[in-house]
Amino acid sequence: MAKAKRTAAQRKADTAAERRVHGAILGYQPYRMKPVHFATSFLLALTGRYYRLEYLNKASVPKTAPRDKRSVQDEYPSDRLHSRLVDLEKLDPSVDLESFRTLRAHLNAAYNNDGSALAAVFPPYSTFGADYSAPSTRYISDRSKNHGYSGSFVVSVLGASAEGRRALGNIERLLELPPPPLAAFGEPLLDDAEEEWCDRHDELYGAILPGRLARIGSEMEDCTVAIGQLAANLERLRSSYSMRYMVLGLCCWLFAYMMRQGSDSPLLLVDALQGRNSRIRAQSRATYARALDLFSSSYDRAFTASNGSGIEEDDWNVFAGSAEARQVLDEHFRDLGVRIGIVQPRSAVAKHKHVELQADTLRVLAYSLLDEGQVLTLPAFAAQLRSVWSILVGAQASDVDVLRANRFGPLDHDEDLRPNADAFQTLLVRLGLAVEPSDGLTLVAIDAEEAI
Amino acid sequence: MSKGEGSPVVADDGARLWRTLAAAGREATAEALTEEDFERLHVAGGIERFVVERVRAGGSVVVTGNAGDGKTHLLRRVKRDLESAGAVVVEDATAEMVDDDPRPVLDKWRAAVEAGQPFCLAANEYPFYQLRMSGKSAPHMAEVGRQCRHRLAYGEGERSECAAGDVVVIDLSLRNPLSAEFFETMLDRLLADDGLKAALARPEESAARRNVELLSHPRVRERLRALADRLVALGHRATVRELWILFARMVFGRGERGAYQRADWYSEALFGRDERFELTESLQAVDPAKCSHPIWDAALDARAPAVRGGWALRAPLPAPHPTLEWEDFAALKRRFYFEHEKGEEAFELADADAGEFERLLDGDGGSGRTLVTSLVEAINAAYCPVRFESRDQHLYLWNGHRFHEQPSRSFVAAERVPTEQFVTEVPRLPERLETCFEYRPDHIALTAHGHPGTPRLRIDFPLWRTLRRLARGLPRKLIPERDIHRLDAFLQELGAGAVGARDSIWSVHLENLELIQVNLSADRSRFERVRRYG
Repeated sequence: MAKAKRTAAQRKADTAAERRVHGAILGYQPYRMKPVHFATSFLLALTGRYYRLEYLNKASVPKTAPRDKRSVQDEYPSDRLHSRLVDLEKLDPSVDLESFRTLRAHLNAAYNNDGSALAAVFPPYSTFGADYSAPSTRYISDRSKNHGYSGSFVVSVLGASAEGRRALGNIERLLELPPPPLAAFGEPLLDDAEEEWCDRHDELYGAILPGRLARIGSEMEDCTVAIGQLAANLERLRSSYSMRYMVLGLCCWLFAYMMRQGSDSPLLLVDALQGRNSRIRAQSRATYARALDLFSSSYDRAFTASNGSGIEEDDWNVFAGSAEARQVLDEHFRDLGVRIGIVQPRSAVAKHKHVELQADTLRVLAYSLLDEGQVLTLPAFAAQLRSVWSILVGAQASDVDVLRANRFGPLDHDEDLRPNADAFQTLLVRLGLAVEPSDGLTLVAIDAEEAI
Repeated sequence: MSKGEGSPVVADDGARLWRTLAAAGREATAEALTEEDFERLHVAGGIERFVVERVRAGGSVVVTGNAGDGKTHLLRRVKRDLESAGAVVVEDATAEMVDDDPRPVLDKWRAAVEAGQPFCLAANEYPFYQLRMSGKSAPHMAEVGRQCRHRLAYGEGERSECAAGDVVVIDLSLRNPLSAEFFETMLDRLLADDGLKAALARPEESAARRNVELLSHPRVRERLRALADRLVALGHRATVRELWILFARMVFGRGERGAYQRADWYSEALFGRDERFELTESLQAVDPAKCSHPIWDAALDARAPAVRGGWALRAPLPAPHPTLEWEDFAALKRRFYFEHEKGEEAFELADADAGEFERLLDGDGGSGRTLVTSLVEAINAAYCPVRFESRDQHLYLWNGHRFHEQPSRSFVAAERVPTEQFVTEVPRLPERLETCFEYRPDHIALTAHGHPGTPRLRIDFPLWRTLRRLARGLPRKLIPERDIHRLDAFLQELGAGAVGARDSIWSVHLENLELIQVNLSADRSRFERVRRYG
């Protein structure tokens, strides 16, 4: 018998029920989320302000005129926007229409570099939101709809512990540094007036009680300390990619949080050999698949074990009965892992994904684990990587036993893990994060060639 | 030779040491060689005199570097002189440390400083780092740290070149045994060894005798040295031990049958692979057999009249078959390079970039300005594939900001550094060490003087090759990760803290292959001009 179609009111009620479940278990709403969505949410929650960015949106979203030119009067087509910006004295009249169109294409490439500011969000249009590849907080708008208040959640957790508050302080100082050159490009289109942002996290997902925040803060303490270290290093390095690295680091925090939701001792085996060893590739896939599976099923375990964690049975039944709601959990975990450069391949049709760190992601993780001038041997660095970020590369003598104890294998230390660690070490050296004195020792440092 | 209890006793015919080295087994390690062996292998150099004079003048010396660089050997050789000058000598920091705890060494050092005694220490890179970190509060360690940060000098004399205190740090990893002086001295030492000479007098050593005869020939030596120079320029280095093993093999082979095609030819031993030694892998990059030359290759293959004469001593034995197999041809080509009067032409068609880089390191790089503009243009090309007129006049500080893992769709620059602010520099030993040993540079630097921290791009051969290829149109996605990182780091260092007017923006759209320059009003509230390039 066909299922009865839900009314709009039922759909709204079901959505609210699902939100409450996500709020009670995860603390925010999982979506198919990119780092840029998280960045918007985090910066909104941290600064408590936003900018409308109407003309940034209009200029960076190239759109042809609608067919119905009489009743739809928008400012997105170039000819109309050109004259409007000239009127607003944001564009010199000497810039011709053709040059203006070119300028728009470049603005789009710069501020839609994450492919999430594609849509026109001002009347007469409304869409799924716009998130700009923000080089500074002046590029943060409230038109984002895909972050599920994940940033609010992270700010709340960090704010609940001393280490977290220290990390937030470091991040705030980072945001006060002169922005990268990209921030100047779109400046004529920015708003001077900032708006106060209203955080609806608690309204939508329920407030996270202090006790729960403290528990999560305690569980995530090592990752939080690492984030504080990352921010301190970025402040010192004055990199024009600081904002990017910071957001990647925070997303790694969120990813680690999700893995810890699924398991007390999560583990991801990096395939540094990039498929050259089929056993490593197979076990790398297996570690990822298990982490995904444990995260997916973490909701069921949380509900079963809840006993008063605030999940109403009716709400749970709505969530548990929705295939879509469950699917989005998988998608959230998978997409974030891919987009922050921990999981490969990117393609959605690729059934089996494995763990392979992208260069910038590895740099971010290294910056989060190493202090200025600190030098670690490769096994010591690998131990930190495993302990804090649950990432295993095979560089420690105990790795083979750890994998076996977690029922991953069989892998041989000499045949499989050592070559994998060697490939990982080569990547570190290529990125300037390690040097190899000729006595077989590999030393890891933020600026290895200078530090040693 | 007397080995450990239970080991067979092998009669020493004078060549025992060299055969042991050629076999490169456990017996060839520093721990297994006798004092007498070390004496035969010792290569005297200015470094010993330098260390002793320094200590006699009341100074302290720290010798660091990698394993196999000869630190401990150096201090052992001069220990008596150092101690008679009142120095406290620690030959091996690792041996003195307890469970990686550097305090015992630091305590000895502190006691020596307090007693006004010179202190001499040999330490590998990592133990030395541990010592520096543990003792960084001590005043004498501050100078050690400073010298470690300025191991090489660039350009005109700098303040950082002199030792500010009475301690000097000698980094032996900067002494590449492949550099001409050291290489020649080692070869001389081998060829002049009395034990070897005595062994070669035996009738059964005809192959080794012939190899020594050829290795003594000025032409062969000159070509060997040229190969070593080329290796240094390409960024390869060797340890003293590796080089001794290689030399011994050139005389005696590897001590195994069938290890290479022409087992008794010195030139085949030189290019035989041995995965235990990186040097044998490095040598593959300069193997004459892998560098084709249509005219000489054809002549060698056909044993044409042009290659029947002109050999250093005599022509290599003719091949048994009318047509040469690859291995036979390769062996002949190698001998051709070393021994034939036209042998240098074997590399005539070799990688031009390598030759150019080698000349740069020799200080023969043409006009400095031309070099700087070509480097600046190539770095710009790594970010902006569109050719535009001023891309050799300014280095643009490109930035491609995004959050996800995908490559950037565009790069934007709001600041640029005029080419005049850059110079190219070849590194050298700082003044405090210049009489210590010969240093052969393996990189050049593109330096921005007048910028905070004096940003310096270290251009070694791999990066040089990438930059040359970029100038010829190499797409960004084919740039090796290591080189991208170096270029990014250089641009970021140049841009760190720079807050210029930012009223002129360059934006390159990598999908449309389009570059624009956008001028903003002084208060950056209006787009004033958009100019398209390309």
